[in-house]
Amino acid sequence: MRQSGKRIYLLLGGLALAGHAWLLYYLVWGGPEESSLLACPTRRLTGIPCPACGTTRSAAALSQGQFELALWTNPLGYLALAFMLAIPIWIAYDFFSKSESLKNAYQQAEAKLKRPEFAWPFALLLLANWIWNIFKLL
Amino acid sequence: MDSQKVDMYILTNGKYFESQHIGQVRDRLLALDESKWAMIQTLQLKDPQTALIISIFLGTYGIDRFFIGDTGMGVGKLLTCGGLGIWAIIDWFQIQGATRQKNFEKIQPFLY
Repeated sequence: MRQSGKRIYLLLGGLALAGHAWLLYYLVWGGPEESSLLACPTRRLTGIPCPACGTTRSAAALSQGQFELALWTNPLGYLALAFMLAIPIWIAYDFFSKSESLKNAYQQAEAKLKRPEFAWPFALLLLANWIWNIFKLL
Repeated sequence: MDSQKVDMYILTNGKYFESQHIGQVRDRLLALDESKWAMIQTLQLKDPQTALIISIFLGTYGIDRFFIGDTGMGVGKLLTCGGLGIWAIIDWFQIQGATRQKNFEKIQPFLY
C-alpha cells in the first residue's frame, strides 16, 4: 500500500467522480435543505456545522451561475468545483502524455503542507471559515 | 547487529509493523551496522491503537490521517465532511494497517 502513483490517481479520480455524482444527485433529487443537512455526520449528530458544511450548496449555486451566493455560503465550493473540473482533465492529460505530473504535484503539495509555514495559515483559514460557518448556521 | 538486541527491538516494536514486514525488518536489522542502532532506537513510530482512537472520534475531520503523516488524504477528508461520513467509517478499519505501513516506510531509509 505504498503511496504509489496508481493509488494517488485512484484516490483523486475517485474523489472527483464522487463529487460529480453527489452534485448531480443534489441538483436533481436533493431538496434545498434536508438532504444537504443529512449528508454531514457532524451536522446530523451535533447540529453544529463542520468546516466543510455548505460546500455542496455552494458548488450547486456556482453551477447555476450564482457566484455571490456561492461565496457567501461557503468559499470552499469554489475550491471543490475547481478540483472536480481540473482533476479529470489533468488525469487525462497524464494518461495521454504518459507523464506523472499529477502524482508529482500531489506529493509536492503534501510535503509543503507538512511544513509549519504552510500548515498554520491553512489551518487558521479553515478555522476562520468554520467559525463563520457556525455563525451562519449552515 | 547483535541478534539479542534485534530480537529485543522486534519484541517491543513489533506492534508497529505489519506481520508480513517483521521478518524483513529483522533480517535488515541483523545485517545493519552497529553505528545505526541509536538512530533506529530513537525513531518515532506511530501507535496504530492511538490512530484508531483518533479515527473513531476525529476521523470526520481527517485528524487520523494527519496524525500518521498522510496529509493529502487528511485534507481530502477534512474538506468533504469525512467523505460524507463514508470515508471516515472506511478508515476505522483501514487506519491501523495504514499506520503500520507508514511506520514501515519511515524505517526504510535507516535499513538500507
